[in-house]
Amino acid sequence: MHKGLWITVLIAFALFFGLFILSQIPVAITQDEVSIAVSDAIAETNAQVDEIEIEQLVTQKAVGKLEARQKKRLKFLVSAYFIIWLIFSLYALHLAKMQNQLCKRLEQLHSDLQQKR
Amino acid sequence: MTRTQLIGLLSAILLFVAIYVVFSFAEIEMTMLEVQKIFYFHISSAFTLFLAFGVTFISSILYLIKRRDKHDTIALVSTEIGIVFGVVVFTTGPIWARYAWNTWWNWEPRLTSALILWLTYIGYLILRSALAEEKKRVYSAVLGIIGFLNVPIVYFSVELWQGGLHPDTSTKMNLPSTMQIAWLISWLALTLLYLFLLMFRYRTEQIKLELETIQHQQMN
Repeated sequence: MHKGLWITVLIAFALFFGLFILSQIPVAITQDEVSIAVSDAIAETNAQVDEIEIEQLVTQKAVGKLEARQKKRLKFLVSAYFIIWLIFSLYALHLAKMQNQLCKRLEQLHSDLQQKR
Repeated sequence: MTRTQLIGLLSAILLFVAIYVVFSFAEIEMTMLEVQKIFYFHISSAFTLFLAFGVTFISSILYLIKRRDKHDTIALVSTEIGIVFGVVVFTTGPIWARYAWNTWWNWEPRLTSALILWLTYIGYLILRSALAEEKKRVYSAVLGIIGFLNVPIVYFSVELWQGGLHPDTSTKMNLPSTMQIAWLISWLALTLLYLFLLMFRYRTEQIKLELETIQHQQMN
């Protein structure tokens, strides 16, 4: 059981991260986010250039900002799920270890008693 | 395969299904985006915590009526597991809060009452370790009953005190169906995990008791 629990925890870890990586989370861009990013980018761009260049700059800036925001959100998400996994795994391992030690002591006591008899 | 192992296996399978459903099936909420996915395990952990303390409450009542060790042991192990679920609630909550409210903690009604509930049951464990055998069982049973009275206060705190940051209790029912399914599967998975941990921990206490009995006999 205890060996099995260790294996379960390891498989859980592998599967958890496997699923996490495989589950493609699309970049959800809201209209508000685009507007904010575009206006920010325009405000920061002082260059007097043609429309195509401005569009490229704005797009670059907007995509960069959106990606940074998604990275930040994913950091929060991964931290939360990692903590959940860690708490349950540590508690399960603690229980397994405790039960294992108690079983060993009980066996020891039984064998001592038999020897005395 | 024992019953405990079977429940453990079932809970592990359901946890993987829950993670898959949360990340692949449930739609993305448009305000919080990906961070909203913390909700499924945060809320489910909170509900399992209520269940765990509910089991403590019932077992404590039964212990005071029947005075059977079994009920005291169930109350003890359920409290311990409830506290572990509380750790999950109180670590995932601030991560959510930091993103949603720009703060790790806020002394709003739901958070404050939930913290009091959690600390009450930590007090339950401290009380047990501080008192003598018979006294600790009775006193902790009383605390196990009194502590549970805070559960409805925590649940309805948003309605009882206006101006909190948490949404009211009806929000869960207004979720889109994909989110509701993901939440229910997560909740079921964590409930099964609670059951597995309860049975496993109960067995540990039984071994401990057996060990103490033999040691006592040897000394006599």
